[in-house]
Amino acid sequence: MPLHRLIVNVFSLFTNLKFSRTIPHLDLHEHHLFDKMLLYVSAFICKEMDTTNPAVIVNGDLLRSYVGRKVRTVIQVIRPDAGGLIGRSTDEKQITIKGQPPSPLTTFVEVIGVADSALSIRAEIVTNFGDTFDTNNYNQLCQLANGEFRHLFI
Amino acid sequence: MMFSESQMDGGFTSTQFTNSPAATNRDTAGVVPLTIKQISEASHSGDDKSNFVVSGADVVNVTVVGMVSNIVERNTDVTFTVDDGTGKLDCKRWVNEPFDKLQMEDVREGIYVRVDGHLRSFRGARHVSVFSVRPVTNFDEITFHFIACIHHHMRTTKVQKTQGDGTTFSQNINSTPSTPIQNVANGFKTTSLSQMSVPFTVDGLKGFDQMVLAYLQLPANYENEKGIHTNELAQKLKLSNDKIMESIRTLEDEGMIYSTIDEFHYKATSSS
Repeated sequence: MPLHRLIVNVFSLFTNLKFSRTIPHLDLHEHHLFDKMLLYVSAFICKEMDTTNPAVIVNGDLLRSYVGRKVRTVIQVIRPDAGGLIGRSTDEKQITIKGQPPSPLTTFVEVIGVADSALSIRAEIVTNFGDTFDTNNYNQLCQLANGEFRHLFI
Repeated sequence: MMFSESQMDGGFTSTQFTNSPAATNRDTAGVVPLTIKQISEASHSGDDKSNFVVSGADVVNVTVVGMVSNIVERNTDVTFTVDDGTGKLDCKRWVNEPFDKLQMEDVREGIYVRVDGHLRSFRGARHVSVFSVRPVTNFDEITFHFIACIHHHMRTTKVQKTQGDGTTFSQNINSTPSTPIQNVANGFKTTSLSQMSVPFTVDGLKGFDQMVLAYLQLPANYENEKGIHTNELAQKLKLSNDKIMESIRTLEDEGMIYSTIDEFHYKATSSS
């Protein structure tokens, strides 16, 4: 395999995150060479801090703008539900959380996951946030973090 | 602080460390609240790779709040990653004293922590050399932290904006007790608004006149050859242009201020 093909493959790594094993027609030497380059490339990538998949702070209203994207929000638990729980967002909207919540649940939980629809989140992490939480402050933070100061967050 | 400077990152001896510019800054600048995205976007000031600039201001020590992952314990240190939802940041805690060890025992995967530390660059990778890490128990602290990040950003950018206008007025940037930023590097004095808002009638001058005069007598403004534009007065003192012009006329009649380069720029005749 000519060197320029190798370089092209390395660059495709940036976009497709391919590994040398998935690239056909490499002999053992080329495998070795590729892995070496991979090491340099990954060292280069590692230097850049990982801000690739931020979880946007949202309230119920902002959730609709992030369907399909990673979000985080704090909700007040209303009741556990089959395969998740029902909660109230900091702006008083009813939100359905799909996923495995911790047990026991505190009054407030933080949910990090992917916005499933305008009113539901597929949770990856549910964290107990205790029984007292200032929802008004959080709600205002949501607005700032999605408005004027968005660039500090996402 | 419970760490030995000579061990900050292996390669430093304590003499090198105290002689570096970072060390001098470390004494003056407080702990700056930042989102991890801000840290990832921080630039280096000049050629010195040990200095970081965020929102145009030097940053040495930072405070972040986020969720812990990837804890790796070694003999002399513990490394972990903090994710605050805006990005991920590598943290390293040297474990020298029993206290360090005790504090690290509370740090577990998946919990929220507040981390205070020294922002460093090692072979191009950014990480925080941790002074203190403690679990978040009141989760309003997370909200608070992000508000503090916004506040700090506003404050630093505002100071620069007013500096850009050729004035050095700033709202008291030392107002937050938790983050006592002394912008010594920029070499300007700060004056709080309260010092100049005089709502009473003194010496026959109305409150507004006093406010305008006080603003023009601020050392930075008094030293400004060009004088201060009336629009700036209106903006800074949050008064209407009419009120400002009324005060300007009164003060001018009294001989306390005079117009400079044009009829919109004024200067105080005396500094007090």
